[in-house]
Amino acid sequence: MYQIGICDDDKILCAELEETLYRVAEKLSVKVEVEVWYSGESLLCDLKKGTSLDIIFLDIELTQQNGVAVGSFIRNEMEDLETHIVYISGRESYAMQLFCIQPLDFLIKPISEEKLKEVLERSLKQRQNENLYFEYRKGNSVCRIPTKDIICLMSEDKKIRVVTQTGESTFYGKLKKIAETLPPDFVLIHQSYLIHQRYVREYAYDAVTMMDGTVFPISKPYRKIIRSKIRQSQREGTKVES
Amino acid sequence: MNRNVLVIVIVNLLRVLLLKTMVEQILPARKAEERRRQAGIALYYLLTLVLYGIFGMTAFYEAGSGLGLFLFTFLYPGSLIKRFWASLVVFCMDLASGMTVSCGLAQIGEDAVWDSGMVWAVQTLLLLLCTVIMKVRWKAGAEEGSGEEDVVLEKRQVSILFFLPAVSGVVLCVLQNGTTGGTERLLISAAMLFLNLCTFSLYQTMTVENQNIRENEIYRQQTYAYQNQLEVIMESQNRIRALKHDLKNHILALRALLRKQDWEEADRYLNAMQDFMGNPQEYVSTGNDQVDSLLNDKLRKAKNLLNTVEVNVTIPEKLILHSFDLNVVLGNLLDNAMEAAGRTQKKELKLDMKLEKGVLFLTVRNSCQGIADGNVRRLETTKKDGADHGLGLGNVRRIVEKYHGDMEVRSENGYLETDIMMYRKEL
Repeated sequence: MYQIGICDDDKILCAELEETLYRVAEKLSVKVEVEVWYSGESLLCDLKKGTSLDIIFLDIELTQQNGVAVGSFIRNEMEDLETHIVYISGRESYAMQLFCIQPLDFLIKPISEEKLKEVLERSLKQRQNENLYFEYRKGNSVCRIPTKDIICLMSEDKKIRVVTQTGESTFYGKLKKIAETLPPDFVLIHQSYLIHQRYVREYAYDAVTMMDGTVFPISKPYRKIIRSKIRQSQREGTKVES
Repeated sequence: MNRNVLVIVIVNLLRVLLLKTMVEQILPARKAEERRRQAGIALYYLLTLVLYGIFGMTAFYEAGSGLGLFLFTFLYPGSLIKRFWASLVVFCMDLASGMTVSCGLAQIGEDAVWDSGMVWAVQTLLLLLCTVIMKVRWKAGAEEGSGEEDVVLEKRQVSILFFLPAVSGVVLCVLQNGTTGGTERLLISAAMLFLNLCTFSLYQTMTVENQNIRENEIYRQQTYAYQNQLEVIMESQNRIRALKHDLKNHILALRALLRKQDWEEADRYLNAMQDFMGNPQEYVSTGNDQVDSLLNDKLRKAKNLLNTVEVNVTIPEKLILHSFDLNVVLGNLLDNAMEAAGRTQKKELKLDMKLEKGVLFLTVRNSCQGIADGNVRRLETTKKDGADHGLGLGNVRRIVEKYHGDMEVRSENGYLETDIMMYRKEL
């Protein structure tokens, strides 16, 4: 069941969006459950109680707790990077803070069914890629962690340090070989750093800043490949569109 | 005699290196290929020594060393004519300084017999002086311009620049084989040296000027775009004011329709109001003034010219970009796309621009004809005045490279797609 949330103070729009979403889901033959909130506070209240959503359509211009505040609460306070946030707005201009929340997309009212279908498809596709596991040997036991949780892998001498959202672990291995087995959104940016693009906050040509603020340098020989990787992942994100 | 040979061998090394420096004042060098150029200049050094060893200071030697210099310039990027011109200027300066020194020395001590090594040494000193002058002038010039390389000069300018060293070369050759007396010889060769130095200086001034003219053109376009944007904003304001003015009437009308429960008519009425409020001139309103004004101006032209124009822009309001460079990129891409699409049946143009994770993505897609499918390395301009059409895709590519970005031009099924990524931090 795909959990969808809508948060907008315009009740008519919410009803319309809900209806369209059910229709689109039927066309895509996915089971969804749509829940609606009319204010940022009520949404935050439920999220705190443990409501979890796969995707939330969030109005930017909510009255009290606006979309930026709600978004940054989800990302920063709750440390939830998995919920896809789609901003909806009547205007075309966006504040810089919105881009830090890494929304899946921006939609301008009125929202067409086509566009909604495209966004939902993209969300579903990204979610699908998350059910992969990374296996490694530590001593005599084999460890298994979901690849979606891995932030980065670092090589130190002959050991590999794997950093996930919940903690760290080390094992023996070769970074280059590991890079080949992981999904394409893992990128080698340095001979001893393998990062997960999902956890990148900002790229520069010579460094990447991760969500937690860590900065990794991109060494010279890798810069060209990184450029094409960035473009590739961007193109894949929008491919469904055209 | 042996000592003399040793002096020539040493001094010639210095002279050849000076010639290389001079060439590099005209032809900008890329750092990457320095090794090859060093090898090239070493070859040239050996060539001059061998030629001098065989022929002595004769026309054969001069011709050989001139040709060698021209071949050496092939290690630098630049058009054939520019390379030829550069080697000609440097060669003439070398020749003129050599003649000036030999005549001058002959004038000073008519009785003394000067070693050829001495002549070489003094000539090299003179060359050094010229190089220093060139360098000082160039620095002053480079600070004025933004240091852009490979500026396209107009044909007329090129021909003037070309004839000056060519004529001086002819004069020098005649002089060398002629019977003109000592003092005149000295004066003429010194004058030729000065003339060549001036030519060089003229070239630098022209480069800087052309750069300025080009920048002014861009600023002029930008001003024009801003003006257009101002009009667009005022038009939007006016529409909203007009609507506000009539709001009371609209409310009354709507209320009447609602009371009648005529939903369809009410819906139509609301749509009409919305249409009235929207400004057809305002295609983009991201809140980013620079981008808005440029895009609204270009898109207005595009809408007049083309059938379908689709724009998707998602960038932050206060995205700080180096507007000059962004304008060059956006302006050129849209101009090119508009032109190409205008010549096709479909007349389609699509622009996508978005910021994600600190990376600015820009995609322009237009219908086009006559380009084979696949990745396009280089697009030939279809305009006739190639020199005047300098502000093209090459400039875009250069700016993208300046910001460590990446650019790809693809062609498929009659569409040309230009795909650019640039890092925001650099912009």
